[in-house]
Amino acid sequence: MNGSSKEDVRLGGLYADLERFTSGQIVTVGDHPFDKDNSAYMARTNPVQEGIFDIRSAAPSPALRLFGAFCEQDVFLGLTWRWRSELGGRDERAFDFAVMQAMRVWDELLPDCRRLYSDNLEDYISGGLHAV
Amino acid sequence: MLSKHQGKGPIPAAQLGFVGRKLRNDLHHLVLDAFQKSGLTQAELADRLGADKSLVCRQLGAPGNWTIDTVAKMLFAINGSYVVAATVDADTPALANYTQPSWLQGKVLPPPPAFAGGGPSTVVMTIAPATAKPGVKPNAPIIASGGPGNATSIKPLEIAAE
Repeated sequence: MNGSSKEDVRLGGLYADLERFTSGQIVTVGDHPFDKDNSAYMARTNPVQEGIFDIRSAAPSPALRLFGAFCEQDVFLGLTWRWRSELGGRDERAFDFAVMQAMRVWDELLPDCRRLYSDNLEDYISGGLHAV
Repeated sequence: MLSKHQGKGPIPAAQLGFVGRKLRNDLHHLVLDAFQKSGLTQAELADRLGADKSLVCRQLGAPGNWTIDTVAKMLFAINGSYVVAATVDADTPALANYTQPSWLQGKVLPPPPAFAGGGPSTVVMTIAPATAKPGVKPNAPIIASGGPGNATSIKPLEIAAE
């Protein structure tokens, strides 16, 4: 993190994006995996019943996705990440595989803890939510 | 993440990346917060701005293409307020308090398994706060806890010594 590479700049951007959540700022959340605004800060992934979300850190380029799930309201556990370019389109298997990978990591880390799931986004984030 | 720069050398690129992105996120929050409190609809805001609703919708969704003017115009259109510039010393203690949810207190988690298919998998750990204690190891998952009144920060879980 003390270097001058593009990767360092990227990490700085990701850190700022994560701090946005942890500092309680309003975040934009995509409710439907296949029908959401491209600009969403965070979005449910398919199948939504599995409770996996991705934080969509878009800038600076290259974009990346941090996959994780909520342990309880306002508590998000980041599990895996991928460059967005590796995931392809919504119909490609790479994205589904990344979601499954996050589920597997969760299950191995916390076998006795269920991921939070709800139909209402407000059950995940107690305030500061803008659905897109 | 931040510490005040000392000496003549270059500032680490990560810190420069952080402050730029943070400002954009902070301004986005400012506008979204004002918009939610105003009770306006996106269509009404678009009318006030004389802009297309889809553009306003996009601008509310993310600050990626915002200019300084975008912030000023949106805030003024929402509630008649304007932005006052101020600075914060980088050495000011952050809002973060590095807490964990109660059910994770004292819990020791194993590192996550290696990812099949390769690809870098350590970005998460490299954003550990500068105050990370010895014993915090790479590949630790991150607990991020947020929400109003519960402002906490990113904390790598401590991993048991192997």
